[in-house]
Amino acid sequence: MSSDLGASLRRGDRAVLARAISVAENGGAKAQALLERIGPANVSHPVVGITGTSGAGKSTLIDQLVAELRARDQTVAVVAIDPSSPFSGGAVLGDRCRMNRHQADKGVYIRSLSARGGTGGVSAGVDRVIQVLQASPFDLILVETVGAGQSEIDIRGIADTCIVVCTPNSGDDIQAIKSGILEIADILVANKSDLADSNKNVGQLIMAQSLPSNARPIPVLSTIATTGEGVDTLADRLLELCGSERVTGANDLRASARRRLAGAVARKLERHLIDAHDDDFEQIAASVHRGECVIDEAAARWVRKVTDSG
Amino acid sequence: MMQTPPRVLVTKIGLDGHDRGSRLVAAALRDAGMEVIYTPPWQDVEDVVRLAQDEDVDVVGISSLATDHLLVPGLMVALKRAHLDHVGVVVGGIVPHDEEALLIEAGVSRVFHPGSPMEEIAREVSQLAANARQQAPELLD
Ligand SMILES: Nc1nc2c(ncn2[C@@H]2O[C@H](COP(=O)(O)OP(=O)(O)O)[C@@H](O)[C@H]2O)c(=O)[nH]1
Ligand SMILES: [Mg+2]
Repeated sequence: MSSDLGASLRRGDRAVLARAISVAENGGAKAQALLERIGPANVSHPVVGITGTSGAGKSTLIDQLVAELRARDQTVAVVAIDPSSPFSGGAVLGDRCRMNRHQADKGVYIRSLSARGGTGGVSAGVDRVIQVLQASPFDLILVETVGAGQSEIDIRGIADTCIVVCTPNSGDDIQAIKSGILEIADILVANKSDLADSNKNVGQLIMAQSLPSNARPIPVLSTIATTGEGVDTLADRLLELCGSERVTGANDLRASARRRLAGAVARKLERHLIDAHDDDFEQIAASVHRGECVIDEAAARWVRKVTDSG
Repeated sequence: MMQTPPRVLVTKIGLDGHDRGSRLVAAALRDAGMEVIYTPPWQDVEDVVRLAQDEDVDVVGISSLATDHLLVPGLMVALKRAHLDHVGVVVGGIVPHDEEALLIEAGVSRVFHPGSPMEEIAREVSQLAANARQQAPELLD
């Protein structure tokens, strides 16, 4: 099975795809070996992040969006991330309940992932999972983040295009926009526009956009995910955007986002290591203190420990 | 112990739509550290096979309160046909004893009757998942 792994993926072998995603998600040396075997990701398959607060209608919207994209002859992979329990590490992954009608469609692949403790709205391994999906023949890859609030913007470092889903009657959403989640949006969706005073809400969103921190003009679309209203326009805009970003060098943008993310991770990790009293770390620190190990070598040792234990 | 959480599909086949039991089991498995893929009821046998494959699960748990467990022998055949023999299958719910024998013979690992303690279910499913991982075909050699 292994020698033509890349070929199997490109051919759309679902058994291989599903297994490969697990290996990639789980990380460590096996994931590295797998990704090397697969080769560079096919970045012409755009990655679209769908984020927004829990209950905003992300899963329902994706269900409708998939239908619209299929009607436009696009094949679609969906990665749906749900939060993990901080106590047990387990998770109930239920997003695909809302996408059940696509089950029998060979042009759709849906995969549920746990955040596995990730706090940025995506899971630690999702970047690797996406690399696997980009080696398979799906035209678009949609990633549903866990219900994101204000700081869960890691999706920007992973997706080429981000859809931020807001709902009416929720001051929280406006708050989130002010606090920066709008800054990662390429399209802003005002979902649940069937609910009262939603028109006003869209107005507020547009106002929020004219805040000085927001230089880019962002399309605002109203949808009713439960009926599909407005989702045809969303599909059109999305495909337009994906097409144009291909041309204007989204790869460079993505590479820069990844660099920024790596920097942010390094900063957070430093804080975490100082506060958390992790056993391995303390042990290695102690041997540095005893003069048994120079600092560079000690750091390399710790990184090896962490990256091998996936 | 497994390195990464067991992945378990909790679902219902056939016509019975009562999903209270399967929700409780899903929550218990989550609390035991597993990743539970939860679906709406009324899945076809072919749906379950596709779900098991696409989600790369280690164990499939079928909840049956009516007679839907009688579809499970067909599910076992379909899983095998899809090269998913390594996946463990358990059935929970109301299953008469003679029919339980039928299920076990078809390859079901375990039938949980009403009143089975959640800890026992979690322990067994976790063990089955570990076995499944060992038997799963290796992607990289
Ligand atoms: N009234 C109304 N309800 C919606 C709409 N979109 C989604 N919902 C409902 O909102 C709830 C949460 O939807 P879900 O897609 O699971 O949200 P998620 O947590 O963001 O993925 C469900 O009960 C949906 O049926 C909409 O446009 N209008
Ligand atoms: Mg959801």
